[in-house]
Amino acid sequence: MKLKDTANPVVLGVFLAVIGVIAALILAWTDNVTRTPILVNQQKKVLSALQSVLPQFANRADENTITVKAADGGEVKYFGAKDAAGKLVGIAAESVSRHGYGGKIAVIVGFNPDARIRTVVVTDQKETPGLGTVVCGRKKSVTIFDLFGDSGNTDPNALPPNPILDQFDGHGAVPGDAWTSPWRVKKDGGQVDYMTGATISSRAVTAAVNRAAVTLVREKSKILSALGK
Amino acid sequence: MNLWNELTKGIWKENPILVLTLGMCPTLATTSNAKNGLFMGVAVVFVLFGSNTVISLIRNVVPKKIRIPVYIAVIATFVTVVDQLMKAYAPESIQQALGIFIPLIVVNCIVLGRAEAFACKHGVVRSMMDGIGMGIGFLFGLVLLGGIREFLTSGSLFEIKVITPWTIDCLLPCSAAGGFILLGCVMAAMNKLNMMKAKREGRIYEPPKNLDCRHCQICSFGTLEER
Repeated sequence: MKLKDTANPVVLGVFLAVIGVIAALILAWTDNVTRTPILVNQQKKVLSALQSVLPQFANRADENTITVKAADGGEVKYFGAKDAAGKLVGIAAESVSRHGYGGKIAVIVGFNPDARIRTVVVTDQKETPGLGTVVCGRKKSVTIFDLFGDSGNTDPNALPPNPILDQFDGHGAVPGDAWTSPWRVKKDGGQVDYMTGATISSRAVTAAVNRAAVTLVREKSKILSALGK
Repeated sequence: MNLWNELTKGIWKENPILVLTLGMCPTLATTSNAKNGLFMGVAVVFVLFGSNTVISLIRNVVPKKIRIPVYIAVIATFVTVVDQLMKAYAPESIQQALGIFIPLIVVNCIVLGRAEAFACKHGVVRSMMDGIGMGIGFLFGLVLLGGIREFLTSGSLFEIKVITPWTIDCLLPCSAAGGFILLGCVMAAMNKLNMMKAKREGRIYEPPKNLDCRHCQICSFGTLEER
């Protein structure tokens, strides 16, 4: 009987096992080849997000980190950025809210050394395209004029503006700030303008940023001693 | 049918999206803009080419009773390889857009459908041609639909704003419902073109006859005719 028409369960089982082993070998080889580039890519992603929220720094800020528990039970990861002289020029915080419209929203918040916010960027989200993504996105809009090189855009490396995220700039959970903590969107009686149609996304972003700011002030001594002054 | 025919049939006459209507899930999910459609299409071309080649190579060895699990193993291996390679070497924005769809190619009916309907019955070269042709047809359908949807959503193409004063996105075309509506419009337009062509040549348009479900053997319908 030919192999093609066999119904012997042992033969069938062995055949499937052989196919499985071959597939596993191919996958192991691919994993071996791609592991390093994937790791490098992930590091690059974190580093480029840090570069966009922090002033210029000279150290490996993505490796100078500490993870701190927030008051609400969540965790915030802090990154310390230093200049060439070893002085702390800024702190970045990675904070995640689980209450986005599409699940998790991750933000990276850049702080000046006085715990006031420099910039906020959203690094991971699955919000509704056109609504929630407007709250989260800092997408550079490329127009047809850019292709011909007469767009009038000044700095190609500047972070594109976002009216929701830019509100946090200059604020902090420090005494004397115009915004009293905890920060909320205006609909909930707070200070933060939100996007109509994307209240939930705005709320989640606000909560994540607020948690990073409050925890930074609350655990300041711990964070500063870990990251180095 | 010559080889050239095997290559080109997937692009228009048996286009996987517009005629065979296979793989609707990734089609609607990835075509909210043209760029995502393009990269999804490229990934599918590669997977189809690879899986068709391997399956036609092993078609005389694989026992009939377990051919589907074997095909799935072959396809899943190819998809995982593509996934890893994209993670390692493709730009970040594309990874983010396609991250959840690439694993879906494993169960994409185009890939399994071509394995079952074509590659397991034809030689290696023909199966390669069929894989590339079907892949390019899929890519063509995705980019066409993605371009239409993206343009109607925000007036841009491949993420480049063509109509600059268009600042507020229109949400219907980029939602799944709008995707279905536009897909229907594109199919209707394609049928209209086919009919006009047939009329000019003085014949009546008929859809390809071998496209009903009887030529496939996954369920018992396929074998009814042979008995």
